[in-house]
Amino acid sequence: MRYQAQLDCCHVNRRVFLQRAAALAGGAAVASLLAACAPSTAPATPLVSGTPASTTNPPATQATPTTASATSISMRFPTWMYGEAGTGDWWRATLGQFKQENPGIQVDETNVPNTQFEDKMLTELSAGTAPDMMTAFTTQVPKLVKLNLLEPLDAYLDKASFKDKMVPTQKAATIGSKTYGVVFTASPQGLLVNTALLQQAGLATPPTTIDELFQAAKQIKDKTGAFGVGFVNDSKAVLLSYIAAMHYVLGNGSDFARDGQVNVTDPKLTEGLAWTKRILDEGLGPRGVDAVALQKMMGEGKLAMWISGPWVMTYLKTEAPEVYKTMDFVIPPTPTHAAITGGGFIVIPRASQQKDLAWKYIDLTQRADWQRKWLEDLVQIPGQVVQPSQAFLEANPWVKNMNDMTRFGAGFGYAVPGLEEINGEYQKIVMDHVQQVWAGSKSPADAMNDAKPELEDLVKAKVKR
Amino acid sequence: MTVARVPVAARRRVIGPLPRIDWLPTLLVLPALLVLAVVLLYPIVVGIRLSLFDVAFVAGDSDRFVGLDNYARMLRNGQFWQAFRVTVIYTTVVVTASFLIGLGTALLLNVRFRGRAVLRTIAIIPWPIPEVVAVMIWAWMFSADFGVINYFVSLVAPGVGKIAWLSDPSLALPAVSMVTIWKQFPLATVMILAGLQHIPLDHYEAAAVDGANARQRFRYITWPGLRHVNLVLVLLLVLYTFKRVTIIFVMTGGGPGRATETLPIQTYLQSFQFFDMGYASAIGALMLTVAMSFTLVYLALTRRDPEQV
Repeated sequence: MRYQAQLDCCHVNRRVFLQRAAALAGGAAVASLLAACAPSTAPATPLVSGTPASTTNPPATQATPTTASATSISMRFPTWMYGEAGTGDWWRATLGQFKQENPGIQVDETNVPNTQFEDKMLTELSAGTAPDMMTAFTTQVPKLVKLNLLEPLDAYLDKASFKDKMVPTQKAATIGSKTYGVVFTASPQGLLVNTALLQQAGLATPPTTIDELFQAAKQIKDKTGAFGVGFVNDSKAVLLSYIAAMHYVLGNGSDFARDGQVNVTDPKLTEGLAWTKRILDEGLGPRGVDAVALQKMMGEGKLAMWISGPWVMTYLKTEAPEVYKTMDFVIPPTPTHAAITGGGFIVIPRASQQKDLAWKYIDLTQRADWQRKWLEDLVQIPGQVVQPSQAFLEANPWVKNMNDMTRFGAGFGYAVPGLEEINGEYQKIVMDHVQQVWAGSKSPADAMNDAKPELEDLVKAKVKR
Repeated sequence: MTVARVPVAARRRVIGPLPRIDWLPTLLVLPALLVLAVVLLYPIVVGIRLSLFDVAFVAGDSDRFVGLDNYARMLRNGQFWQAFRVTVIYTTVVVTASFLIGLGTALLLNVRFRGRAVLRTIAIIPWPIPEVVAVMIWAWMFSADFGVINYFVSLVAPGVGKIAWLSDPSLALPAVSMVTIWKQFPLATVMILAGLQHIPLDHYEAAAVDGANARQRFRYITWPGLRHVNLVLVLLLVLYTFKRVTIIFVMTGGGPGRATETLPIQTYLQSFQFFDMGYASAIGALMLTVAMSFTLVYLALTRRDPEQV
């Protein structure tokens, strides 16, 4: 009986079937008709622009055409800095002047959060929807060059008035024999010191050698309870952990690669790694922390020393002004005093439709007044060598040290020397083994002996020579 | 369940000149099937295709057909086997523990007692909490220097010192597994609890009359009564655990020293950090094969059981 009821409710005789089929077909036909009649996206109006810059190679892909009218040109300039206090204001001010000097040009200031910037820009560039110019992290440049997405700037740079005034980090944008970006900031990393904690521990001056560093760190820990010296050793933060290791490895005169050859079994390298292991084993620094946690600890007076960049000082100036007053920024107390120097670059995508205008903007940012503003307003090293004013130095005495530190600049762009195209993978393999050292599972020598064949296989597989 | 046979007379009434066609259910399901085909089948097909190519990342450049080279490279790669091993251990431990804890919790919550409703609510709290939020809190709890877990350890065992849960390769996988079990056991609890409601009470009454103890009641009534629920539950737990990314990525990123790098994490790293889409797709295709195998085992087991509908 139940089945009969089911049958009755669902049965379709010939007439009902034909009626329903006709209704369905009619509905589908109406829907198709409506879809076909819907207005399509209007094509972009043709560009009104100058002659594109001549280049050695034609663009790999076409950019999304920037909209234009007979009297205006619109450009797109994404960066992660528009939302940052200080640096955001600097970019907007330079763009304001650019628009004043070039009437009819509009610039779309697209802010992309720094955590998403690399992936988002790579996706846009690869898909052919490139902006007209953009900022790029130092580590981004080799990847983008490898994918043939950036325009070489040598033709522009050869005629630039500022080409001989650039900081050494500019070299990181030269890959092969071509230059792909202009550095806008290149701050060296040095030893941040909370002098108040130092004094509480009975120390008059910051350490100048590695032995003094350990001694000071231990004294601070014993007498104040604060951590003596820290570094990023969070397993998630591969690049920042690698940079942390670089301080001590390059600081001891070694590097993870030399001229494209794997160099991880160098005794000076393993000695440098042993210093980092000692910091953790003796409890002188916190375990498993990232840069955000270290910054916060420094602001709360729980960390006395940390080799990092001047952006930490900028953070302390706004977030912990009382601690900032006690801070100093000195040369790293390692044997070579290597001041690992990253940086940021302005680059022009190969698919940019406004290369000449993009260069005009870059040229504006390199003017002396804007460079000085970057140094004195933002307290970071600009792309060119700039001497700060006396008044500024009196208000921020540690900046003199930062300027002096540039002569010890090393590890430019955090690159693996000679293997920039496989930076990411190389660094990951290195850090997979270094993390075992920090966990106490292996000695530095054993860990690097294990890493060496993996790295050599990677170089063999991925580097075209 | 037996199907009633339709009387001959009734059948004669509904059968017209054309054979009876029951199109309506199919037509109603068709839009959903089309959507499923687009969002499920199409990416799978594209992924398998990508695994046969050295994929050009830039639009306009051509992919290079390499056949099974990506698969050969994968099978020769020690990092792949390391990730495979971690995935097997992680999945086995998490599924077993989630199931057992869920079973125990469900059995407890099936007994009538005062406050049972409140405890049932508390038991499922881990499940609806947003995963990233929960995991970030756990990551702080596991912090070597500031975490509350080490604080309690120091109270219980003062001589132990600070344990680097997420920085020590031998402890990171257990820590991550623990968080995954915490997140997943409520699913097991809810499903088993639902299954327990469908076991007729008179079975237990009859067993009690026959003098069966608690263990015997569980073994001869409860466990067989939960068989079908258990099959589905284990399959779901295996599939969910096998493809988990968020918990591991937020807590350890696959480190330290690849101790928590599972196949899904490795796939992500190969695709979006090293831009090797072809190789990543090969790993993805292998993961699909493994997942399908579990599903086929489930289907085979359920086909054998005539009571399973």
